[in-house]
Amino acid sequence: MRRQYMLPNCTLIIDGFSDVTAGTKITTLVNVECQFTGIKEHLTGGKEFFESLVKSVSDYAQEFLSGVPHFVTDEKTATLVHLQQLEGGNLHRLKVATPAQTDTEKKNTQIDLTTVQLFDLVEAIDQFLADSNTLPDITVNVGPISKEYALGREPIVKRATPLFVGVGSIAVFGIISYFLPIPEVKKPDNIPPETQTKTTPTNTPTPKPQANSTPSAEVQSAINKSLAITDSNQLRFLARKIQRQIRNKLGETILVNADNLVYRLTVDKQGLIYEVKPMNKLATDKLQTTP
Amino acid sequence: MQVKSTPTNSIPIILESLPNPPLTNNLCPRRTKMQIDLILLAIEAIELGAAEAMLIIAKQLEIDEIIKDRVKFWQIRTSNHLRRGHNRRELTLIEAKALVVMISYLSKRLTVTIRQLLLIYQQLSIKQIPAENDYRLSEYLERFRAHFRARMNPRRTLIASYQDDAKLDKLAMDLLAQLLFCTGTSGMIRLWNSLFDGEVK
Repeated sequence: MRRQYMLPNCTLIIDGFSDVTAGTKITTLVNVECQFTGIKEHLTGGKEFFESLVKSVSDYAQEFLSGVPHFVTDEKTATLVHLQQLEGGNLHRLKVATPAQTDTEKKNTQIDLTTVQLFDLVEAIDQFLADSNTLPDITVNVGPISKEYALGREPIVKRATPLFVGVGSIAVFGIISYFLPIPEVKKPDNIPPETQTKTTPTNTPTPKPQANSTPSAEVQSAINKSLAITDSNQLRFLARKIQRQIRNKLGETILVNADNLVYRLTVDKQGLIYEVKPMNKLATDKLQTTP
Repeated sequence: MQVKSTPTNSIPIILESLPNPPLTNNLCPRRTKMQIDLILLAIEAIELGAAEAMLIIAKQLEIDEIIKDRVKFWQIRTSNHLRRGHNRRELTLIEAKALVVMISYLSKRLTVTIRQLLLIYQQLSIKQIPAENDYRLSEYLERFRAHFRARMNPRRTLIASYQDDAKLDKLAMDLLAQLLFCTGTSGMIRLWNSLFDGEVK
């Protein structure tokens, strides 16, 4: 007896016979053939193949609808008929591994189906499943898959790897930072001024030290350590600033001594005078009298 | 005040063919709500006036107790958390079943159109011709994009990822393919079960 389920792109042909008591019902499968319009290759096989085809296609249809992978539990089914979506989503590869009669005869069939062709195959199978007069013992369970099952069969090692990597890296950095020295908090009690070495030959009023005329050892060492200002623009700016300061300080003071008094001034970037050092004998003598 | 009849008393027979999935509570997960809304959106993009037809069909299928009117229908659909003006309303299983039955019925009515659109898309893809070259296909995609952008909340990460037209067109075609599967003999039960894949105990 033959039953055919015909769709525009797919025809499913079932050949079998019925038991004496079953009447027109096909109860035993002899051969099943699946043909696709425009595709030369046909799929044929016996009961094992057909059961695998029905299960795989049904699961794949659900996977296509929900996007949630349906992993096949039965290893035999998985290897016999297998469907996968190709890149782009418009093509679906149907692979059938035909068990060999002899070792040399092993044949693998592969067909690429469009979405419409795939649907016609699914529909043919659904029509068969709905037909209680044909192989009623072949059924599928089309229920939703559970959360645990849907999480997939990725090995626990693979799933746990990101967790362990995360925890491990935190632990490693914790250990490293334990060994790092704690940064010392230095009190900022001496701000090292940036020294400017510049002699000021003057026949103008001499500068007055703003701070202590005898710099302390601390300041001196700080000065020695500090960086010299080398930028000429900055030097010119500082010179003008110091001259302004001198003029402001002296005001109406009349110069009495026209000789050059040379002093070395230690100033910072803002022109704040830290130290005055006399550079010639006359300057040294006159240090006390200079404002 | 009208007394609400308990669900067990007023389940239309047509909904009884859809089994209750083993959920932790009897409310639809987010993914279910989103998927139903998007499929309905695709139907509206295929056929002008589909939204109006939905209410008429609800009456024909005797599920108008559940989908009473336009307002109720809109309320049910805005339970989708990705919508603008999402109303934080839950979607009950009965309501979801009613919508699935409606989708199944509508998709069967549109079988020929759905198949034609997919075939055209297939042929254009093989020849690497853009979809805009076919009038009907470009109409569908344009309407889908317009409905999607008008109704979905762009602040949601998932919606924001669909700013690109090409990506939205891909979604539209995927939904069209899913609608094709809804037109089948077991389309309704397949759709129903797929809505809860990975969500049940």
